[in-house]
Amino acid sequence: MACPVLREDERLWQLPPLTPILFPGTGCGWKEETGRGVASMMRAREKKVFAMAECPNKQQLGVYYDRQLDTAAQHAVEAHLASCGDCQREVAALAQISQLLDASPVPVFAGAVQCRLHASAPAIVDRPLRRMAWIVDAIAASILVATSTYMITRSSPASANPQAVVAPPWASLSRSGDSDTLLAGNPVAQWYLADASGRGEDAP
Amino acid sequence: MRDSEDADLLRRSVGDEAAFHQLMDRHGPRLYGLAVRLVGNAADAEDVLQETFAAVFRTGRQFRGQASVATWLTRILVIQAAVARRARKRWRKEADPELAMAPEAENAGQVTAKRIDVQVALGQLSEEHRQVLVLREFAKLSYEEIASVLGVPRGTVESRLHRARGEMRTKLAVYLTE
Repeated sequence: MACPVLREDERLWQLPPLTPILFPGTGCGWKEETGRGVASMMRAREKKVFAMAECPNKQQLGVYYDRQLDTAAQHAVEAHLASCGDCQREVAALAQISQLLDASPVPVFAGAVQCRLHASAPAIVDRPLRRMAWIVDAIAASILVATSTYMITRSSPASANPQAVVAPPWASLSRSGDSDTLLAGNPVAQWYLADASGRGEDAP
Repeated sequence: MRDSEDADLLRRSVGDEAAFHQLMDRHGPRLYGLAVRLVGNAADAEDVLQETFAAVFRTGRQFRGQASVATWLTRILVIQAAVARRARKRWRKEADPELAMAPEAENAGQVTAKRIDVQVALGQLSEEHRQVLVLREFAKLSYEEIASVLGVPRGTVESRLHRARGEMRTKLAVYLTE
């Protein structure tokens, strides 16, 4: 939006005309009569943009409000603001937002928070050590499991010769059918079997 | 002077627990204030602060002195706060600024509705807009410092700040006088 601005310094806008010249080796280029390059002249134009009849954009007003423009641009916006009601209102709104934010409760770094923070320090300092200990533990456990598995696999007769599995002593009894013969020579076994048989009969 | 002292303290704090405590005392209050503004409540802010110092302890040796220690710590804090906010969103599925501000809202007898509304509005901003507004309005960092903290160009800081203020202006329109 256009606003009626009093030009503080009309001479600023009377930039020297651009004259096309040929730069050796580059083909062509533009150069200011004063001898300055195009880039420096464009920067100069940018700095003076705020003194133009048009308002600076709102983003630039925010930068001005935060005092983050360079000195020349800051002064140029100030000069513009002196006569532009729209931009004055824009800057006033920015100030109001800052005031609202400033009025929000300030977080208090209470003693309890400080104590808890300091209490966490040893854990923070020890954390790398604990991590290292955990890694060592994990490696040791892996080695133990791998070694155990290897030893079991290697010592197992089944893996070496499946035929050479050692049968338990009672296997031969069930196969041979000579259990009565063996029981005859073992009174404890006879008593156990009799007792077990009796219980089986009593069962409903 | 303070910068060089801070840098010395930071280097020592990696192996020296006493120096680490000193660093906490020196920067803890400022960082805590920022953490509360960034994550929206005191409990999460405390966690963020502890994680920040844990990260400082882990990465303290990587500090090259290109920025001040305060800026470097702020950068770590902002990252940790973003991680915390993302984690919280994941748990709650959807960010709820009203809930996020609950600890402060408990003191509603003391603070005005305006203050609560300001906090809620701040909590409703996107992560990027909130970061840049907090760093400018509360931490009072320059645009260059904010750019350094966030790892973005200065122009991005300007545009994000402009949009963040625009959002705040819309949300808090009832409190603004023309």
